[in-house]
Amino acid sequence: MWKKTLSELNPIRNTENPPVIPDSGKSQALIGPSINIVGQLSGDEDVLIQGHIKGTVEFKKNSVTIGKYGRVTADICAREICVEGTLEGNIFSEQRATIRASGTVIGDISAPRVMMEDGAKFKGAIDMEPQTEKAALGKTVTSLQGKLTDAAKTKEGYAAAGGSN
Amino acid sequence: MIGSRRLAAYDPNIVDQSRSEANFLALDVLFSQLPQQGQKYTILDMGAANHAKIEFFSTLKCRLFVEDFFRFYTERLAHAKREKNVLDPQHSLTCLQKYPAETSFDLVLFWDLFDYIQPADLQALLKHLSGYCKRGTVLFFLTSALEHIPIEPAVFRIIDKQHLSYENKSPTTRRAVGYTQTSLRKILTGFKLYRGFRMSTGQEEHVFIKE
Repeated sequence: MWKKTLSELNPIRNTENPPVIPDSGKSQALIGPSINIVGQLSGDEDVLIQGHIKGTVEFKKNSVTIGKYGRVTADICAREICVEGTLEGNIFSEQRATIRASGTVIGDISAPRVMMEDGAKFKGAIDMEPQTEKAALGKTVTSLQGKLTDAAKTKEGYAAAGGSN
Repeated sequence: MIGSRRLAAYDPNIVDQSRSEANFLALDVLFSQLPQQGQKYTILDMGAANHAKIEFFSTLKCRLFVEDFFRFYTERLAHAKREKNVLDPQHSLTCLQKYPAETSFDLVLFWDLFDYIQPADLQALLKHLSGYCKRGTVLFFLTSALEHIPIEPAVFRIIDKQHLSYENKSPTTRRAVGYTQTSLRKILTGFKLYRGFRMSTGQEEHVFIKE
């Protein structure tokens, strides 16, 4: 069901005529629009995803950007996460999660700071804590394993919720 | 107080009608009902997320569920129409996320969706959500006393605990449902009216509380 909904929300495909991505000038790895990855993606440098990824994405010390043409079905764990394309999965960010106006996120967000531009599409849950309490608790995203397990449960939930269509 | 008198039609050409500020009773009521110290709220927002809402809720300690219900609901209806599918009577529920079993909302924000969901779907939805509410859960929504309303729900932005702004620039209109106190009480079984407020724009704010 969710796949159907996502494709309705964002009809961009990256098959025959992949778009030309302008160079942002910032040093980061690029996963181009014609690339499809199924499995685990991890590394120690910033990454811009314009292709399709299904699995898990882990860049704990770096930033992950899902570009306008990117379509990711995965839980993402990174220092900073920015979504301009489409993400179906949960976000675990140690610093900040940003959903741009062009972005679509179906999943939960766990981040000390969440920025959502007007027009962004979001369906999911966000844990909010005022900055002072966060500092007192010293809470960061450390228990990735546990969170990913929770995330898997949530995904099952989404699938079950949409199962009748 | 809330009444059933119908007001003049919505006119999208009148700028003041498309962007207004209103009272926001729900958070006031929520904070007056619940202990604040260390309280972590569970809030369900049936509307769409936007910058102002997220900024506001980030000042609270809460778990915020966002549904953007209208978008998913209308997409589902449009898809069914295209495919000529007959929708299950419970189809509106499949537009929702699945909440963890222990979820118990303190506040449910329906905004103006009562006027944009088919009555049978709304009833199914309220019955389902009622299972995730507890005694004291605050339910906030707006209905229109106007004869005609914009074809799409407004965009709501929370300014502070007492104020919100809403904006609707839909160029076309349709007939409003025209809820009365009686019809609202009928579909809100298990909730009691705590406060209602009619604004000069023809919008009526309602705060119901789970009994």
